[in-house]
Amino acid sequence: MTRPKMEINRGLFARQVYDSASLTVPTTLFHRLRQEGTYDVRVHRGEQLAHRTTVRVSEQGVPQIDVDPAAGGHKADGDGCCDGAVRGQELLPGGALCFHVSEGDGGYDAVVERVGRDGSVDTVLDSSEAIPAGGVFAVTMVLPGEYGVMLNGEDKEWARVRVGEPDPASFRPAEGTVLTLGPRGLEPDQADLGFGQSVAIILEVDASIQVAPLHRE
Amino acid sequence: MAHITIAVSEQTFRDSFELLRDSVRFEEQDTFQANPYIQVEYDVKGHLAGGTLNLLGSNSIEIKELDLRWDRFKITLRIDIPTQYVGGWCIGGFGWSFCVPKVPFFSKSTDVEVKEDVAQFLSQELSLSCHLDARHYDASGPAPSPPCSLLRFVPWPSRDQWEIYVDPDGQPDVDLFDLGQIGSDIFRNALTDKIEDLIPNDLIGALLLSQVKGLANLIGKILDVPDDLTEAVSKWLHNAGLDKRLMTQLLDSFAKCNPIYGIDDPYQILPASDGLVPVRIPVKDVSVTTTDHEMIATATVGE
Repeated sequence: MTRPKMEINRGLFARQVYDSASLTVPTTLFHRLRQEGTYDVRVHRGEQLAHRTTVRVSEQGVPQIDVDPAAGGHKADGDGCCDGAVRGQELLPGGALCFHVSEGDGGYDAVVERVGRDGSVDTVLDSSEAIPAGGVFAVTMVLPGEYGVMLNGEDKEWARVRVGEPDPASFRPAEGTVLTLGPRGLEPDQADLGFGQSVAIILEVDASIQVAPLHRE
Repeated sequence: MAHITIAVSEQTFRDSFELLRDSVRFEEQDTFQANPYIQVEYDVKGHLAGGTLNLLGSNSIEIKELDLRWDRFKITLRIDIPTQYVGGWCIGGFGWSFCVPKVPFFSKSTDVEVKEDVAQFLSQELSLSCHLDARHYDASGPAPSPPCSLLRFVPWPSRDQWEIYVDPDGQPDVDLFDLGQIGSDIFRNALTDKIEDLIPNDLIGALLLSQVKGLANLIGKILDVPDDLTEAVSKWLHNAGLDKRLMTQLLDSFAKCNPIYGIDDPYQILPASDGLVPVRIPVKDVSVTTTDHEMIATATVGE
C-alpha cells in the first residue's frame, strides 16, 4: 500500500529563478500608492487576465492590501498571512498593494492603472517591464545555496544571497534582510539568510530584479 | 490445644520460590499525549529470571540479582504533522511597514507513526529484602478484587487457607527502563526515515531531499520533538508513572497475590474411608519465620 505523502507547496520549489517580472510563490511585490483616487488592479498570466480588482486610495483605507491571483481574489483573513495585516478594498495613501502567489507555478505580472474622473488612465505599475522606485521586491528562500541578484535582465551580479540549510536551532522564518537598490547598485551587496527567510529589495530607482542560483540549474 | 511446627529447608524454599518467580508477569498497555503533536502508546510485558535467594535469620530473606526480562516493550509514537509556513516577515523601519505573506510550506498530512520494540535492548537486575507473612484466606469472602484478581496465578483455593507470602521490604531502587542505554537514538532515526518517506517521489521531492538536507530534523523541531527522542521517550514513560505501576505489579504479585505456600484450614489429617467423613482440624495463629537454613511455620491446631 502506498503511504499518503505530505502535501508540499510545490509552487515554492517549481522555479529556482525568481523574477520581479514573473511572480511565483516565493516572491512578493509591494507597490505603494501615494495618490488618492481609484486604481484598476490587474494580474496577468501571460496573455490571460488572472485577477482584477478596483482599489480606492483614501484616508479610510488600510495600510496593505494583499492581491493573490492564485486565491481567486483578496485573501480572506486567517491562515497564511502576516500577523496584524489588514486587508480591504480601500488603501491608505502611501499604503501598499502586496502582490503574492499562494500556490501553483506562478508566472504572473501585475498592472496598476490610476483611473481619472474623466476616464483617463495612467499606468503606475507594469511589473513585466520594471518595478517603479518606491516598490519592494521580496523573495522567501527555501532552497539552500548561493544566489546572485541581477538587474534588468543583465548578467552582472549586483549582490549575493546565501541561504543556509535548515537549522532547527535558528529556524525563524518570519525574519529577513533588506537590500536597498540605489543609483550605484545594491547596498549591502550580500545577505545571509536562514532557511525560509526572506530577502527584500527596496527600490530607489526603477528596475526589474532577478534572483538566480549561482551553481545549479 | 496442640501446636504444630513445619520446617522447610533452604533448598526446598529456593525451589518453591523459583516456581513462584517463573510465573510472575507484569504488563501494561496505554496511550498518553506527550506534547501537542506527539501521542505515545506503550505495550510492555516482562518476567523474572535468575537471582539467588538466601534465608537469613529473624524472618529475613535476601534475593539478589533477580533478572528483569522484557517479552515485549513496544512503543508507538503517533506524530501529528500540522501545516507549516515560511515567510511572514514584516519589513519596517522606513516610515512604513509591510508584511510578506506567510506561505504554506507543507500542508497537514497524515500522522507519522514510529513503532519500535526495544525489549532486546533492555535488561535490569533487582535485589530485594523480604520477610515472610502468614495471612488467612476466607474462601467464603467477597470475590477477589484488583490487583490480585488480575495478578494471581496461583489457583484460588476452594476452602479457607493460611497463605504464606514473600513480602518485599519497600521498593527497590531500580530504573525499570533506561532507554538511554540503547546507545543510538533509534526513535529519532526512525522518525527521520518516516518524515523523508512522506516526501513525494517526484522531481520536487528529489529536489527537497537532495538540496534540503536537514529537512526532517527541521520538521522534527517544528513538532517540538526533543533532540534525543529515545531519552525523551524514557522520560515520558517515567512521567506517565509506568515504571511505578509495573514495579507495584511486580511486588504485589509476591506480597499480596501469590503465596509461596498454602495450609488448608481446617487441615485434613485423615481422609474419608469406610463411610466415615475425613478428619480435619482447625488451624489457628499461624506464624512464620526463618533461620539461616530453613523456614519455620508454627500454628495452633484443634479446638
